[in-house]
Amino acid sequence: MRFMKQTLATLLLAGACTTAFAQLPFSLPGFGKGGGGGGGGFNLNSVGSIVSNLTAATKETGEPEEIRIGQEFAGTLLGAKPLVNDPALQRYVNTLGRWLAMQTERPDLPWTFGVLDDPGFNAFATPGGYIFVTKGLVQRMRTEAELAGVLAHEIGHVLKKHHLRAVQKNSSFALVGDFLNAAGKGNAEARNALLNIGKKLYASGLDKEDEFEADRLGVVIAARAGYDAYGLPSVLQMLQRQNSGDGDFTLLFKTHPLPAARVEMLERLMKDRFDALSGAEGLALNMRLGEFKK
Amino acid sequence: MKRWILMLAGLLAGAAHAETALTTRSTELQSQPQSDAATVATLAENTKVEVLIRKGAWSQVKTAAGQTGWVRMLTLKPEGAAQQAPAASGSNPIGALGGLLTAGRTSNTATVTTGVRGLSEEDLQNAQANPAEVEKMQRYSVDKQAAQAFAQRSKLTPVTVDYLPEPDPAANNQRNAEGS
Repeated sequence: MRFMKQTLATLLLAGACTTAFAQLPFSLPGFGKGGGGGGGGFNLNSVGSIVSNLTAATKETGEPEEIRIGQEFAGTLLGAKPLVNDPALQRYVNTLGRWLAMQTERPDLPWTFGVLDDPGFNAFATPGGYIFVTKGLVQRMRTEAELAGVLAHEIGHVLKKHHLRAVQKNSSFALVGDFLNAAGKGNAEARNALLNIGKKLYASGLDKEDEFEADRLGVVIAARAGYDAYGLPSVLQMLQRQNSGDGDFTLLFKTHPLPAARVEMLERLMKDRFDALSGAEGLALNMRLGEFKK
Repeated sequence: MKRWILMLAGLLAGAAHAETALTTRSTELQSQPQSDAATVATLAENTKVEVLIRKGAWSQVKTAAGQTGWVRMLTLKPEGAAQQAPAASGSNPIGALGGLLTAGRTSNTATVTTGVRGLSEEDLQNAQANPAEVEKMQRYSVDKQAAQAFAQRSKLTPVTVDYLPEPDPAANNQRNAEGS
């Protein structure tokens, strides 16, 4: 352990020296890739990348930076599709979402929810608590408990920082630090690097295991909030029934594990754990919209 | 637009009413939606049932033999679950076989694709950041008090529930084999 610490310290020190070089667009003579071969050669590039991996793994990105990244990604998603122009709907989803988020270990993030004006069926989370569902998804929910389950799944991604960690793994994340540290005045290049990482991430999706974990968290968060824990599984069964050739579901199916595999994992874990609870189905959407128009 | 949504909702409700499903395993058909209820019958794996309603963990179903009772909703899968091509389809002989068996129904995903209507990869790629819309979204956010009031008037009582454990690695392998 002690050895580990020393090694880490040495590498971090080396990292401090290499960061200045890391941003140069050319290789330094003598430090080129593969130079020297053999175990004795000192390859600055590879040490640099080890260090950046290490720091990504050991040094937490602070919460303000996490939120900042989330806002940037939210801006991209809203650049792809704007909000539905329906204040009652937006307030309702924010209220339901906030109630769910209050049942978690991160109740004080700036939780913000939005319904995108999009006929497709999808939901997104960005770091720091910005969560989106599409209009097409909201319209297909059969109960409020189903919507709660979907929002709770997205909340799970935020709790476990799934997107943030995926971003940190990206090789060009080192560039981004600059932007985040500059308190809003980072350079345009670094910001573009961040936005491009985000676009790729939302187009390709998270690791499967992150999705399974968000399912496990989602059913519990919904149950804690007083809803039927089976809202999310019910949505997954709806997706099982769905033909993936339907253009409204293209991105969702591309970026998530098979619904059958997700249902199967939940069946294995939920068993009779929720039997004693009398979770609510909630109110119908049109009743809620009336309530929130006031 | 509203009318169209209502019609769609009606269609979906109608479809839900006639929903059929298959059992994913040998399952007990019970007289009540609780685990200690009397067993009406034991349904073999892949028994076709009509799903009447769902109540929490339980679905009320009717068998071809006319027996009605309750099974755990997660032991059901939709009959003829749509053929799906996940992101990482991998090489799964079971999945490939399933694809062949349902080929007559959906041929393949490419031919039945109706064109991406929902938010697409291209939409993301071409998106220009929209900070004004982010500000608008933030104006709709609510504080904890408002959420608390919503829960109270909706009679939503918070309960203590532990997070689920991670599945054990053996189960994990099985899941990957079945799932991908």
